[in-house]
Amino acid sequence: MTESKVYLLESKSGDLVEASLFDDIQDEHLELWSSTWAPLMRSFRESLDTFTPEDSHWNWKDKVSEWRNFLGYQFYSIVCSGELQGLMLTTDLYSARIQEQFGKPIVYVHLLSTAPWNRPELEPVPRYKGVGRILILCATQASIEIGYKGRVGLHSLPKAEVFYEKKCGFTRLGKDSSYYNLTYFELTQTQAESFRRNY
Amino acid sequence: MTLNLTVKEMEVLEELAQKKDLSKTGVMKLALRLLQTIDARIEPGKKLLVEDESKNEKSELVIL
Repeated sequence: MTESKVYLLESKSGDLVEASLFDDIQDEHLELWSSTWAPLMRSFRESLDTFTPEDSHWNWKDKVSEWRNFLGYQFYSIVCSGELQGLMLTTDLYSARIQEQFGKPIVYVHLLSTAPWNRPELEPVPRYKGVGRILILCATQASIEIGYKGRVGLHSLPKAEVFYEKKCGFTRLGKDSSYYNLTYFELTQTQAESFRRNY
Repeated sequence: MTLNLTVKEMEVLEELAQKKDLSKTGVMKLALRLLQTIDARIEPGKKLLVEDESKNEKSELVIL
């Protein structure tokens, strides 16, 4: 497992704070998920008068258990101040759909989630900003390192579509009837270079 | 490790490397990752299918 230093924006102070990006989700991360993140998500889901996060049913323990031993699947986690801030699962077994790179392999983001306390729709003052962008940056980096030149694809949950299109520069390819009717997005090599340059 | 390939196998590897925009090593590594995933998913009673949505056709891919 590799640990890299990354920086998140602490909303309250406006300061950049150091965080750790891991290219794995280890048992200690799953413990943090189970003890803090998951119960909070459950409470949002069970409360009828509050907004239900679209990913509140994702069980990261199950995902890690299912995919951990596969070479084509990779987990990532971000920890800051002893708290879990973000999780991601990618695979490098999928192919591109955009015409200019059709059939070429991509890093596909299966799941990407930021901690509930970092979400403006759940917390009036989100604790940290930048988790999603760091994870997408990480996916483009993984794509480059594996020889895929930054190509990345994903299906977005409805509320995250604007983030991927406007903040990260993905191309929107429309709803995919073969995958929960979610909208599919893709990043070309040029778009990945632009995203990384502007990060 | 040295990988010995026949002329035909090398031709296929070079074609795939060009088509996939990968190095030959990249193709071999991708093949290994794919095979591991498929092998683990194919259990007795399960099939791997290729679907052509436009023709509404499904064909079985035989994996040994």
